Parts: sequence; C-alpha cells; structure tokens
Amino acid sequence: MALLEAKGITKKFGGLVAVDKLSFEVKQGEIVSIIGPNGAGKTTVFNMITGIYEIDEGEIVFDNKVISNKSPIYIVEAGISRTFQNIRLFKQMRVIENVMVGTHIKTNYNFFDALFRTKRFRNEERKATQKAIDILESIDLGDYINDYANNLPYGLQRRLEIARAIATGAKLLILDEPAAGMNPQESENLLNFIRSLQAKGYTILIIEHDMNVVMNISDRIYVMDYGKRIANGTPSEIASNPDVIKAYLGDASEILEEDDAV
Amino acid sequence: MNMKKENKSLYTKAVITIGQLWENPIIKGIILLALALFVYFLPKMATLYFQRIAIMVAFYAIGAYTAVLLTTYRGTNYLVAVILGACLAGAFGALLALSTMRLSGTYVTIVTMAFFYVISSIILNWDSVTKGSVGVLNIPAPNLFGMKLTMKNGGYFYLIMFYVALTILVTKLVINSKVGRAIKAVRDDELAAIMMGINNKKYKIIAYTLAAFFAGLAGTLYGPFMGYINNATFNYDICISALVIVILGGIGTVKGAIIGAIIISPLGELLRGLTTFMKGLPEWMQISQPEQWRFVIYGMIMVIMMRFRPQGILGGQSKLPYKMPKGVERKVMK
Repeated sequence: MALLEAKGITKKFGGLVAVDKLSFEVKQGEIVSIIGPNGAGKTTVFNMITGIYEIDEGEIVFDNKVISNKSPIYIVEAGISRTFQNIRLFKQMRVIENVMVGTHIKTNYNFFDALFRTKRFRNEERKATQKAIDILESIDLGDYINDYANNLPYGLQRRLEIARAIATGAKLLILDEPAAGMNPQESENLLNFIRSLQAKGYTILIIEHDMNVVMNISDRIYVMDYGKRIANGTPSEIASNPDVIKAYLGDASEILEEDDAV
Repeated sequence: MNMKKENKSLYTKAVITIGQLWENPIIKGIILLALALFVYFLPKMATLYFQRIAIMVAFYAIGAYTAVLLTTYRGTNYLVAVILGACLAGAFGALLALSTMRLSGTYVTIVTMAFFYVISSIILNWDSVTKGSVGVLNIPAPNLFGMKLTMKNGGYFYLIMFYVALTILVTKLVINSKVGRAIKAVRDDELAAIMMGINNKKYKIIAYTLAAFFAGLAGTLYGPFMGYINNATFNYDICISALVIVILGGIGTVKGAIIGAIIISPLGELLRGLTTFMKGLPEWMQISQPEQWRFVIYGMIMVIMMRFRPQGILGGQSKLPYKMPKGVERKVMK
C-alpha cells in the first residue's frame, strides 16, 4: 500500500507543460528520490504535492485521502511537510522557536487562551516546548536551542529545517535538494542523518542533484525529463539505464552528427 | 543644621524642576511609546517602517476622534467612548489587512499611505462631524466612576500609566504564545509559514487588528490631554517622533520602545529651555523657536543609528536564554 501516490498529474503554465501525466508512488518507510536535469519539473512536482500549485489533471492520494487541489494547511495537517531548496528558516527567531512554529497545528488553543493564560494554554505550551526540545535533542541540535536560526552553520540550518518539518507531526518528509551547497563532509553527515530518520519510521521523498547522495540513500529513484517520467527503479538500475544517461549527457548519435556537420 | 535644611530645599527644588520638565513630555512620550509598540506586530516591518508608522497615526486619529466626539458632543461615558474608539480603529485595521492581503512590498506601502491620506482628508472635510480645521474644543476630562481625572490632580497620569501597562502586558502575552510565533513566522517568511500549516491570512488580520486597536487606544488619550484637537494634530510630526523612538530604542522590542520614549520625549521641552539661555547670545545666534531643532536631532539620531547600530540600543538578538514554561525537561544535559 503506497503512502503517497500521484496518478497522472499534469501542470501547465500557459502553453508550457511543466509536468506531463506523471505517476509515482512512495511506500511507507521508503526513501524515494526524484532526479532529472535542470528544468525537468521536479520542484513543480513538490509544489503540486504541497498545495502551492493547483493541479490541472490527475490526482494525488496520501494516506487514503485525496490531497490534490487542497489548501497547503490541509496537506500539512494530513501529514506532509517539506523543506526548501534555498533554506527558508525564520531567521530572526531562535532555534527552539523555529521548531515550535512547526508544532503550530498540533498546539490546540486560541487567542483568548493566550491572552488569559488559561490552564489549556499552559498545558499545550508545555507540551509544545517539550516536543520541540525532544526533537532538537534527538537530532543533536540540543546545544543550539537558544541560538538564532541565522547564526547556525549552513549544515545545521538544513538540519533545523528538517527538525521544523518533523515538528508538524508529518509522516512524509519532502526534502528539496537537501545537499545543495554542502561540502563532502556535510553531505556525508546529511546522508547519515536522513538514514537515521528512515530508521525512526519516517518516509522520505527527495529531489537531489548530488548523485553521491542519491545513489547512496535511495530505495528507489524516479527520473524526470521535460516533465515526463523517463525511468524508475533501484539506484543500480538507474545508473545503467540508457535513457537516463541520454537525458543527462546527451545522445551519442547527436554528437556524431554535429561532428559531421563541422 | 542650616546646611542640611538648605540641602533639603535644594533637593526638593530639583525634584520639582525635573517633575515639571518631564510632566508634559512623559505623557506625550508614553502616548508615542504606546504607538511605537504596535509596530512590532506588523508583518515584514524590516522594510519601510515609516509608512507603517504613518498608518498607525491614522488609527491613532480614528481612536482620538471617536472618543473625543462621543464625549464632547454626545456626553457618552468616558469608558464606553474609549472602548468604542479603540474597537473602531481595530475594525479599520482588519479592513486594511483584508484589502492589502494579496499585495506585497511596495504595493502594501502605497495602499497604507493612501489610507493615511484618506483618513486625514475625511477629518479635514467632514465638517459637520469632525469640525474640520476648526477642531474640537473644550474636550472634557475623563470621568471614571464619578472621579474626574485631570492633569492637576495627577489622575490622568495614572490613567495613562494604566493604558501603557495594559498595552505592554497584552503585547507580551501575545508575543510569547503560538499567536505571536505565527505572526513572527509570517513576517520572517510567509511561504515557509504557510508550509508549517499557519493560516497566513488569519494571522495578518490579527496582527493588523491588534496594532490598530492599541494605536486607537493611545489616540483616545490624546484629546483629553490637550483639551483640543483638529485635523493638524495627526500629522507626520507624530510619525517622525514614533519612528525615531523605535529606531533609537530597537525595532521589535518592548524594552527598546520604552527606552526610546524616555530619551526622545523630553527633547522638545529641553530645547525650549534654551530660549532663556539664548537671550544672552548675540542677536545673529538667536533662534525664535529652539524646540524646532529637535527635528535636526531626530535626523542625526536616525543617520547615526542606521550607520552604527541599525538594530537600536536594545534591539537585535537577545543574549538571554529562551524562557521555558514550567515543567519542561531536557533529557540530555550538557
């Protein structure tokens, strides 16, 4: 039973078909990667899943619920949370506050509870703070609780962004190029971190350019080009797939023809 | 013995002088402080503070006029008039939030500026209600449960203090909660906030309404304090003072706004004190209204602060640890 299933989803921007009848599925507990050359439509797919873009055709089902064309808030509540290609933390807030923003939808009190500091407020606030601390400690950010997000080193900012996503109570984490801009040491740490998340029971969907990361952690890989799915399979199948090599490196015959023309 | 007595009288004299010096500006400053505080709530305030403050002055005027017109011409109970004034300002805040919902950046600024001018021209031209440029005269002193609160008996001062305390308290309560975090998150990064399941529209409306409500509440204080208001009362002068207060004290902090108000508010009075001093100077050095020099000082403060400490005296990142609610434990201790 797939946790997340996209059935022939299409997104058009005017005449441009950014995503063309794409289908894929992510099973419970898997790490699935979507790869493809620049402009293949990967980030568009993420924006469709998380409700930023409307879907022109097709359907996305998550946990037996149709989530396509629902509001982002509905989708977060359903259990999907994401990170961004370029880190989007709340920079002028502390590390713990960032994670507590993640607990927002699970913190159940209203404006007037906050104003009058009711018992419900105190209970819920204590629970949320405790949860944030537990999450931060479980991913080795416990020492940085009081720091401001924009003062953290780059690698830790990535990690904090994932912590914030976990805090929403998500079952599926969607990571948009988590290794972007990282040095080999940092991306090695990230690999271990993502594996540890999988061990804790999270299901993870990744867009990534760093082939080292993709080949090492993915259970399955989908390859996109020009909005279409051109291949899927295990990392070793993908590495030897002629269509994938063609999409990334071009066609051998094209090169020969160009040579002839010269 | 004689010496001691003299010392004591000197001390009393000093207290009285300082008291006189501060009486007027403290009240004015506190009104400005109340005004400056709410800027905190406005999203994306890192840019274009001035326009955001201009709009606060519009809410301030709405609160002031509502309360003053009701108490002066209708004889409405003071408390009722104040609540109505603040609520009306709050309602306008919500309206403005709704109308700027789909805009961003400069466009929000244009709409808020337009709002300020709409309010000021309504005040100027709606003669039958607002009395236009003639203004509202003989504004009665607040009457609370049969007690007249005036400047002379000091009651008005305590009333102002009460409003300020109330404002600071509510600001603190809201900031340190899920609501405050959501507002800050929307301010820092709206898309990321939405992706955390935060209803950005709801929290924008809450932020604008709260800001407008307290600006309106501050406005209700102004009329009875001066005894007279007209359309020129709510001008850019107030905007600039409030702006200097927040920039000097620190943007986005309650402490900063208080410190800023304490430093800035007596400036006009202090400079007015120079009039006597100036009489001794050669004619060409004399200035008719030395208190007008405060605008020069405001400008200098803004330039110096922006160059050397843009976060303000007390602004920027706090070095104190995050205040945890009771009963929260850290399992792993360092």
